[in-house]
Amino acid sequence: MLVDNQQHPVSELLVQDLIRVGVAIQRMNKHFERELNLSLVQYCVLKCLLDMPGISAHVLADTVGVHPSTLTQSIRRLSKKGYLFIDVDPLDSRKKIISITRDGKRAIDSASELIARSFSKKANLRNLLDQLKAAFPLEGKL
Amino acid sequence: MKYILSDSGLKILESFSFTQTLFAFDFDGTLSKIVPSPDDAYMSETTCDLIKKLSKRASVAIISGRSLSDLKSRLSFTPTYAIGNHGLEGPGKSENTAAKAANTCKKWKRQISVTLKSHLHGNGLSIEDKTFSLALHYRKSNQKRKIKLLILKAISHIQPPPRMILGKCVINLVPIGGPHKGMALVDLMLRSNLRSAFYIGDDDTDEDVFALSNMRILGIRVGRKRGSQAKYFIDRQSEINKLLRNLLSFYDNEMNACG
Repeated sequence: MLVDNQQHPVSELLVQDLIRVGVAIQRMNKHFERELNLSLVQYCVLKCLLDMPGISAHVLADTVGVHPSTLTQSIRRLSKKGYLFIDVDPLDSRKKIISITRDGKRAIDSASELIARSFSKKANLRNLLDQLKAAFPLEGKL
Repeated sequence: MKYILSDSGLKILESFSFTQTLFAFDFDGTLSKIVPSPDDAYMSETTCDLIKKLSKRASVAIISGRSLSDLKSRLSFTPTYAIGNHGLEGPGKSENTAAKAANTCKKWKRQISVTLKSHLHGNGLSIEDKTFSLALHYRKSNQKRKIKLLILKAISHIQPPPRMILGKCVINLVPIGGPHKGMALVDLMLRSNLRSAFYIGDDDTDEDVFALSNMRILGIRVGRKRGSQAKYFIDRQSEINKLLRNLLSFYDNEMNACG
């Protein structure tokens, strides 16, 4: 069994790191929500809509890579903010199509600048983890 | 179908202006109104002015059933792309395919001219040879239904069998397996690396575009028609200027917002 120099199994260290990543991502999301009024998922949703106007929720969920139930919440929140609108598919009243609004586009344009500043373009996973940890330090040790 | 100039329709239309979109238009019945004689078709000065302005802000394509040379002669500006003969003429088109189509059209013209000889003069029927396709016009006929049936009967006997595309008082014959407007549009999107497209057309020749199951393409029909695959419509050709003005306003709003 592989261990580190303090005799902790590597798998245990990995789990701890993963937990820290999860917590850091939550903090990051909160940070962006404060600064931009957008979480990262919401940012991704709007980015997709900018690229693919008038798409269905099903395709949007697939493209963003989230569960449809997660998307439903994001869509609801973004619609409330006026960043997207939902309409009935003219050829199939059972389906909905979603598009970004002008306000949504402005939000994306502002967000993209901050996100570009916040992350290195060619960050590999380790660098990203280090950046997250540095930007969003834990309040206490695990 | 939904009216594109409604509040919600305009929101959808605006969202297409936020991304790199190819704006593609049919010509006859869309940019120019339908006229008794195809030779008299033209774009109004207002429409021309508006579409020129749009072409300075975005990529614009005209996709027509007319021959390319005929189409270009009726445009007082140079769009980003011009496609003629229902997709047979335009950038990157195969010369081999075009040559075969031209040969096929010659054969059809000979056969149809013989079969319909007695109806070709004075009955409002005319054959337009577009080199790579044929168009049989009967708009000027006083007995449209009768003439249409005669044309369809004549077409049923010609070899090789054509693909028929029905238009407004016109029957277009194109070679089976050849490109169509839908393929032409997708080809242009790939060629220009534009991931979204807007297309507006007025008749069955445009249904090849509307039928594309691609949600990146916003299809608009001139005149609402039951059974059309287009999701949106404008009421009549005269609303094209209003549509173009709205598109321009979206781009102008964006420029103003950027300062």
